[in-house]
Amino acid sequence: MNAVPAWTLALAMVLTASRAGAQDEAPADQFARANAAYEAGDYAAAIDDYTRVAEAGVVSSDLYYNLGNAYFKDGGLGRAVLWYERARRLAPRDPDVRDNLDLTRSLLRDKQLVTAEPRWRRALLAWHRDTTTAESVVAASALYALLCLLGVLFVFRQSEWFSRLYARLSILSPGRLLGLDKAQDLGVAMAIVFLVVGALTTSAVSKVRAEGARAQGVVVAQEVSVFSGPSRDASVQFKVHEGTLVSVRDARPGWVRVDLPGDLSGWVDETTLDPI
Amino acid sequence: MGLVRRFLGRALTAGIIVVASLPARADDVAVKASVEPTVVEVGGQAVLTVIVEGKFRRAGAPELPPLDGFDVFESGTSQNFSFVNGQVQSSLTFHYVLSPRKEGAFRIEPIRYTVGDKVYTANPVTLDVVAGGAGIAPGPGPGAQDPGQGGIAPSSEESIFVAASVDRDTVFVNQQVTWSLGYYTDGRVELLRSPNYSPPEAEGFWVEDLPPQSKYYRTLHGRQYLVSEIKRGYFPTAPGTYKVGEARVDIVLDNVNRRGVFDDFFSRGRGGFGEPRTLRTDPVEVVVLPLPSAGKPTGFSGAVASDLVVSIVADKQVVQVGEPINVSVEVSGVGNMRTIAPPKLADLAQFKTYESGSSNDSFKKDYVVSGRRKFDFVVVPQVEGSFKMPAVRVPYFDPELKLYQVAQSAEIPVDVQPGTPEDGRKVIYAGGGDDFEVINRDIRFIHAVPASLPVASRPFYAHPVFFALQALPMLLLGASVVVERRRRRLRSDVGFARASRARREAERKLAEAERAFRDGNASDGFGRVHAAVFGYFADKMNAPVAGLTTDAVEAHLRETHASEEVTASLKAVIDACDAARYAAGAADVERGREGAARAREALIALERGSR
Repeated sequence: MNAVPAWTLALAMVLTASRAGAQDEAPADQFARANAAYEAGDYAAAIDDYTRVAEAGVVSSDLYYNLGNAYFKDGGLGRAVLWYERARRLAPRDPDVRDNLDLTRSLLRDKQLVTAEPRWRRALLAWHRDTTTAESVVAASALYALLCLLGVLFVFRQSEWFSRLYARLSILSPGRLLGLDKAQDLGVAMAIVFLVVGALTTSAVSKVRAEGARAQGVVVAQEVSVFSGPSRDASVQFKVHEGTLVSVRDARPGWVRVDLPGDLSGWVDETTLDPI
Repeated sequence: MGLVRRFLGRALTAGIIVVASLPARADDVAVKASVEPTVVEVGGQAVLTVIVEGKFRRAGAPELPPLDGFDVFESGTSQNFSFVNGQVQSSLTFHYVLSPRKEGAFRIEPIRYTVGDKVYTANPVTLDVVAGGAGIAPGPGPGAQDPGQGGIAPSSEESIFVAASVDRDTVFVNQQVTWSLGYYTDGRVELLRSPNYSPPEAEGFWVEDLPPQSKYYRTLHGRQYLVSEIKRGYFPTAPGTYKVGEARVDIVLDNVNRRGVFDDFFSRGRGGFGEPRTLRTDPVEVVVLPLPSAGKPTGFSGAVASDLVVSIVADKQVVQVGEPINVSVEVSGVGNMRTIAPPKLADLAQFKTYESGSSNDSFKKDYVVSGRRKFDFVVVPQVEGSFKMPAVRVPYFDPELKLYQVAQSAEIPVDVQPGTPEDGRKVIYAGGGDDFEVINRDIRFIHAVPASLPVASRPFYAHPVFFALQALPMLLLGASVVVERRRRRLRSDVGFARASRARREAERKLAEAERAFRDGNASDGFGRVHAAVFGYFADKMNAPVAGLTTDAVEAHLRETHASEEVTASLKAVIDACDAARYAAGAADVERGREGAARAREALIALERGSR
C-alpha cells in the first residue's frame, strides 16, 4: 500500500529537475515551516514552501491537501482544485479533502459543468471512487487468485477430500442453505466472484490508465477559450474558467483536446491546463 | 432447486423492474398545453401553446388531435437548452393560432408528444367560442407592413401567394429587424389541409418568434385578400450584409371542389389528394452597420438596447463584519437583453464580492422584443464603518438615437458594525442558480506534518514481477485440470491404469528379485524377474499374465517398434529365467543379478521409447 502511482513519480521528476537546487532543508522541516506560514496567514510563503517539498519528490496526501488549502486562501481556486484532486487520488476517503474540494467547486464560475451525481449512483460507485489505484489493484489481484482457487476446487469437486472440506466449510454457505449441491454452490460462488473480479479489474485498469495517460486535467488559467481545432485561427466554441475539470482526449504540439460534461469538446492551449 | 429458481426468478423480475424504471425517471419529460384567451369570438384568434420540457435532445413536433371547427396555423417554435448538473434540459415551445369557425364550448383533447419510444400527453384544454364579428381587421394589424416592400408584387392572376418583408433594411449590430410573412388569399381557391409553414434560414442572426399571428383584409389590384401574417424578430450578431432566406408554405389545393369562401383556407384533416403546391418568399437582404467607434464609453461590452434602466437592491444595509449582503442588479430595456454582460460591482477594499446567479426574462409586446436581466451578488464587508456601494454603470448603444448612453443605478449606503474576530476571516460561498444559499463555512484546516513523507517510487503494480505473479493462480488452475483428468482416467480406464503403473510394478518386483538374489535364493529371484517382465507386458497390453507367452511379448515389442537390442536383451532375460526355472543348476545368483539389471535397463529403454 506504500507504493505510489506512476504519475506522482513523473510529477516529482519534473519538479525535481526544475528546482534541483532547493534541496538543502529536510522536507519535514519545510513542511512544518509551511504550516507555520499558513497559520500566520502568509499563504504565498506557505505555497512556496509546500511546493518545495513537492519538488523534493515527496508524495503525500497531507502535503497536497495543505497546498490546496494554501492556494484556496490565496485566491487560486484553479490550483486549489488541482491539488485537492491530487490529494484525493492518494486519500480518496479523507473527509477533509472531499469537503474542501466540494466547497472549492461550489465557488467556481463553471458550476454548471460540475456534475452532481445522484446519491444512489454515488453510493453504488463508492467502491470505485473511494479507493486508491493500489487498493483497487490489490483487491482485483486477490479476488482473481480467489477465483482461480475456486476453479481448482471446482475441478476437484468429485474428490473425497473436497467433499470433506465442503462439508466442514460450507455450513454458512447461502447456496447450501438454499438446497444447492456442492457443484452448484461452487458454481454460483464462482460466478459472483467472477463478476466482482471483472468490476474490480475494470476499476483498477481505468485508474492505472488514467494515471499513465494523464487523462484528466484542471483549468488553471482564469479564462480559457476552447477552440474548434488546434489553432488560434479556429473558431472559439465556448470558454471555461479556472478550476474546471476536463478529460484530456488527444494532444498536438502546444494543444490538447478536452471533453466536458454535456458532450462539449474542443482544443485548448496546453499551458492553460495542469494534469492531475 | 425449486426454491432457488423461485428466488432467482423473483430477484430477476425485481431487477428488471428497477432497471426499466430508471430510463423513465431519467427522461422526465413534461408536456403542457394552454390556450390564450380562453374565450374567443367566431373568426377571432386564440394561441395554443404547447411546452415540452425535460431531459431529451432531439424530438419532433407535437401531434395535435382533430380540431374540427377551427382553422389551425403553426406560428413558430422556440427552443432552449440548458445544462443542469451536467445534464441537458430542453424546453421546446410550439405556438399554434386557432381561428374558430363556429361558436360553442370546445375541448382540445390531450396533445401527444413522442420522445424516443415513449409518448407523452399534455393536459386537455377548453376554449369557449362566442358569436361575434368576423374578428378580422379591415386593414393591417399592429406592426403590419405593406408586403410590397421587399416582398413579391402580387399579380392579379394569383389567388394565393406569400410575401415577406422587413420593417427596416439597415440596422446596427444587435438591433431588432422584424420580418413578416404575409399569406394572401382572395377566396377563389380552397385548401384540403392546413398550410405548412417552414421559417427561413437566417445565418448571422439570433431569432425570436413573435406570436400571435394577425389577420386582416387588404385590397390589392382591386381585389380583396385575406392576409394572415406571421412575424419574427431577427437580431444580427455581426456587421455586414446578411440575408433572411426564403420562407416556404406548403399547401394542397382542392382543385375539384372550389367553394370560394375565406373561412375554409385553414380547414384541417379533410383528406383527399388535391394539388400540392409550394409558395416561397424572396430572400430579404439586411445591411448591418457596425457600432460607431466614436463616443464609445469605457466599460462598453456590446450592449445594444433602448430605454435601459438599471436598479440595485440590497437585502440589508446594516450588517456586521463578515455578514453577507445579497445584492440584486436588474437591467431592463427594449432589445435583446441577452447581450447585456454581467455588470461589475465596483472593486472596494472594504468588500469581497461573489457572483451568485442570474436570470433573464423577455417580453414581446407589439412585436418588439424587450427584456429584463437580473444579476445576483453576495457582498461581504471586511471592515467596519459606513460606506456607499457605488452606483452600477451599464454603458450601451441606443440604435434609435444612434448614440452611446450610460444607464446608472443609485448608490447604496451600508453601515458595517464590528463583528467577532473570526467573521473577518470567514469565506462565504454561494451555491448555484436560483437555489442560492449563503452558508458561513470555511475550508477545513491544514493537516499536521505526517510521520513519514514518502518519496515517489515505481508503484508495485508497474513492476514485471507483479505481472509474472498474476500468472501463478492460472497455472495452478491449469495444473489441477491436468491432474484431475488423469485421476479420472485412471479410475475409468483399466488399460490406462495398468499401463500407467506397469513400470512401477515391474520395478517393485525387480527389487524383490534382487533381495532374493542377495539372500542366495536364485530360483525365487529368477521367478520374480520373470514375473516382473511378464507382469510389465501384461499391464502394457492390458492382458492377463497367466496367458501371456514369449511369442506374444515379442509380437508386442515388434508392434511398438522396440529396438532390436532391447528385444534381444529382454529375450535373453526371459530365456535365462525359463532356464533357471526349468533346468536344474541354471539358477545362478550372479546370472540372476545380471538378468535383473538387464531387465531393468530394457524396461527403462522401453519406457523412454514409448514417450
